[in-house]
Amino acid sequence: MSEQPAAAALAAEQDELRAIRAHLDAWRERLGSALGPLEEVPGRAGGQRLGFLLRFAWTDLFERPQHGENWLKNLRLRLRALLRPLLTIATLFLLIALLAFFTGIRNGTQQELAAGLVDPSINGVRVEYFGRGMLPASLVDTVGNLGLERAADGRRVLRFGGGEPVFGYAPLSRPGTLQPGAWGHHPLGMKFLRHGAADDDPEGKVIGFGLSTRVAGPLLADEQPLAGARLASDDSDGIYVARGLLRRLGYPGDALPPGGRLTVLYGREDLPIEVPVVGVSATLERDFVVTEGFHYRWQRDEFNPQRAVGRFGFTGFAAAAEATDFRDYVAGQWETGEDGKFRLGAVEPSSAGFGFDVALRRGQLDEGFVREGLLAFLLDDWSGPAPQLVFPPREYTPYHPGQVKYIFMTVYPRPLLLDRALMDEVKELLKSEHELQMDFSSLNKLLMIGEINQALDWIGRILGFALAGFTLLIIMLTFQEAIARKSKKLGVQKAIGLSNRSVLGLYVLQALYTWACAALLFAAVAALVVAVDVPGRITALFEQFAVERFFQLGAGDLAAILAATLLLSIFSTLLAVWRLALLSPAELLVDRE
Amino acid sequence: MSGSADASPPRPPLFTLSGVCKHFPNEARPVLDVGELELPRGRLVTVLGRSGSGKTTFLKLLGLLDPPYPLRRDTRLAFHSLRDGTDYDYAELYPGRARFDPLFRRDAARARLRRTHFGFLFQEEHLLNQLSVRDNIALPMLLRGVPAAERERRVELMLEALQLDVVTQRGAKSVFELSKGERQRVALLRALLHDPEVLFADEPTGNLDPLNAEWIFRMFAFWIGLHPERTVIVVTHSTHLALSHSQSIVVFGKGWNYLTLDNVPSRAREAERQGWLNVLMNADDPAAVGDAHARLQALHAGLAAAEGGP
Repeated sequence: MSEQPAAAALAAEQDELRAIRAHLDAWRERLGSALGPLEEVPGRAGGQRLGFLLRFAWTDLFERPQHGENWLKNLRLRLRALLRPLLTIATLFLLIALLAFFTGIRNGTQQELAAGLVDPSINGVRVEYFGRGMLPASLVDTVGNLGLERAADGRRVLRFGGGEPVFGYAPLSRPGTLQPGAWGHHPLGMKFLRHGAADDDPEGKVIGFGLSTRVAGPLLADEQPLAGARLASDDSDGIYVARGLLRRLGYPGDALPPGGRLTVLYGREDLPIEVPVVGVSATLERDFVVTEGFHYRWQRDEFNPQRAVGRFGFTGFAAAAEATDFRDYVAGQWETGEDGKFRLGAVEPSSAGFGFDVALRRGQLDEGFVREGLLAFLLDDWSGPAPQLVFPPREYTPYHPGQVKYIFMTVYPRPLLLDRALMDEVKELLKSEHELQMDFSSLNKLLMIGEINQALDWIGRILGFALAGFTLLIIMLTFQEAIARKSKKLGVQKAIGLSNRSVLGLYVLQALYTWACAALLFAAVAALVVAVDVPGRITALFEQFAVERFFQLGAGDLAAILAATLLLSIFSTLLAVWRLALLSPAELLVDRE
Repeated sequence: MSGSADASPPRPPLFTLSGVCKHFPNEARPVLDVGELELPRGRLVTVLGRSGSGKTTFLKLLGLLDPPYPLRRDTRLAFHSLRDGTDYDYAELYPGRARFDPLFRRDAARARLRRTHFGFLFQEEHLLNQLSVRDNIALPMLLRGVPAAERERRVELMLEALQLDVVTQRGAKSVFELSKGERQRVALLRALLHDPEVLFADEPTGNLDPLNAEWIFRMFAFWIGLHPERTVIVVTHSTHLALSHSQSIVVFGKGWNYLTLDNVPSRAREAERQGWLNVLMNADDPAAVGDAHARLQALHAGLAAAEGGP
């Protein structure tokens, strides 16, 4: 450079500098005002930060391209910003498709199999099924709603929702202290009534099962199950009670209650039974113990149809009883020979079932007895209001055409394998003891449905887990990639004063926004799918299978999917941001590209 | 730092450092090892040194952008705030050996300090793309809780004063519409308008032409002139800008730690001073370093005497 231009450049630079200085001097006052000290504004920052975070999270989702006129790069950046919402939506649809597919397949299979029950060769033959497979309630509903109605060809069908035979003695508070098989006990407590001051004053405090009454079975001869309780097991006339029970009832607890008796409210209708108290124990681990003699007498002499209580839930039973003359039936009473009585109680109006009271003699306190009695009762239902005794079944009325099939499905946590064993057992029982030949072909089909359902459930679960894992991975990678790209930005945010908590909140907000966008889009598409009846059209493609609807999704399923994707989004975000949040601003500001 | 000519009543130093050491993983030598150092307030302090000498690390430690690990028993790094009268001990602002801060309590304390007491200006502007120019500038004020009206007033005034016509006249809203120099000025406004006690600037003029660089340094000086309690600590490679504008210089060496010297912000005898400064930065020989340091101090003493004379 020659000297002249260099000097000119220097002069120009000097001029510029002078201009800068002059400018700053000229603006000194206003600059001083703009850069003046700030008053502390306590309590405002938090609210403002929240507003900022809400807005910032939204704008950050769709960040602006930063490559000027390079439209290709800009397009790529915009698409990348949209990737997360798109992936979330894709996940939603994948999960829904999977659920719909398996629900449809399962229901379709059931329909196909249940349709076989209408086979004329077996129609008109009673099908009794009181199996206890591992069938969830929804499956019972499905079979009931889809299979049985079709199988029954429009005739009345009773669907068994669950069984709960109840006997008067509740289980011990400490399982195992009673000898197995000594007593059939069931979870319904006994209620003790405290007498009033006078005999004509029956008001008193009631202690029921809910008040932690620990009731017990009979104290049998030769049995000494209670540590420290000196009980005379040959005493035949009453119960021994624990001091604690008396105290809870309001008695002193160190002596027999007034009159040496307690009243037990028994059965579904709280029938009061006077029970003599023959002793009080301070060390009794249970609330009371029945002496063996009294127990026998109670069973033998004090026969009362309300002594034990059963509660069987028949789906739609109440409605059926209302719609027909069924109520008359349940109000009837059937003698079962010398072996006992069986009487159905009133239909519970608000439930999908009915309760019954049953009185049984000693030796019949097993579920099989109740089951057979109930089965006999129900089988008799269709044959008219003046049935022959249905129990024992030697006197059973022959089938007549059009007789309904009863298919009972109980909900017990037992594997299906046991159902088959149970079926065989019942079959053998009915044959050997009652000479009753039963056709179990329909039952076999139902069992098959159950087994297929179970297999489909497993496949669905495995595929569901695999899909969920896959989508989790994809979403996590996407979120991580998206957030890693923003590490510098995160560093700036932290440098200018955002805390880790705010940063985490910021990105969780973004996840919520993403999810909300996806859910809205999903709702729009779902509405479209419903409007043009896509499920119906798809089902039509499989017309040869005679399946009414392959795609079935309930509101609960949709809610579960939305909740799962929401959690997935938040979890993935937190996982991705957490790692970066732990880095210092300086580490985040390092150029990683 | 020795030899301060400040006549005001004694004030606590801005930063006190003792036994501060910074190790990076897989490196045998610490990148920074500060024995005893006090940084005064109310000055433009430039930090000079060769690449890798630890000057940026020094800035990041002070600005709470990077943790001063390992924290030793004799480590002392404290910021003395005149604004709230508090001494912030960095050992308390960072989790200890376990580095465990599950609820981010210490992180929140550091963030609050950065938000209210510090301002940052980097070589890259690091503007947030999704925010408008105005929102970028106003963001630290928003985080500090400054009312909206006051934020807008300050932003408008500064945009006009700094001749950011691209925003005020052309109506540019996006940061993409700004030139490099304009973006850095916006970043400077972002760093200043929330009224920090200390402004940290890490090579803020590295990507700028000389005129814009001059702008930035003059703004630093102007700001300190407005508020004698405020301090700017700036890392730069430019000995020219350091000598022209700063009152104090910290020089980090390669193979030795650091030296401090008072400066007379002037262009007088600049070439000579620059020469000795270059010797100081690049010399490994302690004798040469000592000689250059002594000569620079003598030069500055002479300049100070000349400026203070009749």
